[in-house]
Amino acid sequence: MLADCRLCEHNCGVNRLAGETGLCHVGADSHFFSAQVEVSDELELIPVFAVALSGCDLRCDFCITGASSWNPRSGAGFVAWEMAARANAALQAGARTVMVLGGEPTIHLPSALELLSLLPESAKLVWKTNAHGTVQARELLDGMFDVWLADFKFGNDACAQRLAKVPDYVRVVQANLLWANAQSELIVRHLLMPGHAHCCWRPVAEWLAEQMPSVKVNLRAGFWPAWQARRHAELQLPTSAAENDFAFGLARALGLNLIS
Amino acid sequence: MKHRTTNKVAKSSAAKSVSEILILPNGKILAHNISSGLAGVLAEMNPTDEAMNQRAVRKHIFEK
Repeated sequence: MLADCRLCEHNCGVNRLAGETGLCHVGADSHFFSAQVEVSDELELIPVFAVALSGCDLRCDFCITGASSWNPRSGAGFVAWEMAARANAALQAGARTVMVLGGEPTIHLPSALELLSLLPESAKLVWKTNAHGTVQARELLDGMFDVWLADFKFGNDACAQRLAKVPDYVRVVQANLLWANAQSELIVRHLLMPGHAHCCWRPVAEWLAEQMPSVKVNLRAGFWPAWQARRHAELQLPTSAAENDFAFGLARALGLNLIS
Repeated sequence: MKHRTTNKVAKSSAAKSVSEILILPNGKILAHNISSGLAGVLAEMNPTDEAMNQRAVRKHIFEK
């Protein structure tokens, strides 16, 4: 898997076992920058024991955890059995789910699957992803997680290229979402960005309404000008009340199944 | 040796467990990585925030 890494759609093909790295800079080992019980995710998932793995294959300038997410060696070395012990303790203390996220967990698939193998069958498992994985990654993930919590960040490839330096974004994400919706429970997240309600949210919302009208959608209006958002004029401030009203109004008009 | 490594990992990861809030000039509060404790604080600050109240309700699970 890592000797010819094609877990994400950058398809670098590098040999991570030999020390080569691709765009994500992740090597053969995984690090994590956060592992804690949180209550900020969807109400039906919380309290969640969330394990955030370091490194990402996207370069979103507005990333809320950019410093950690972009650095594959941030935090501590990931040891599956140690993390499983912490997850189990959290479950016994009342956590409802265990979530694997990043950065982006797809590029850490071996570590994530090792962790899964050490968790009880009864644990409800959530895969929080940017939905930029390959067919190969999806085959390895088939049946592994109860819930896919997937981002659909951009409604067009131009915004994706400019803000996250990723080509061919829309096609890849749509393929992942269609697959995830067919094989597991899916929740789609969209972070409403200032200046992107029409170019990004509208096409995302319309596609969801057409392709998966009953899917759960979490439209998040709490944009936070973080990390390198200052590089982009429109991302200097949170979304306006007018943008929020438009976005939620559109969701209601399209009949989207909004959750919080 | 193995024991020391384990302690180092646990200590480091604990130090990285953080929540963050951003208070805007208009009084709006944005929060990130909300812990159970912070949810309780935010719910106290804005009792009309129904979603935050639901998140705060769950805090007692981890305070036993």
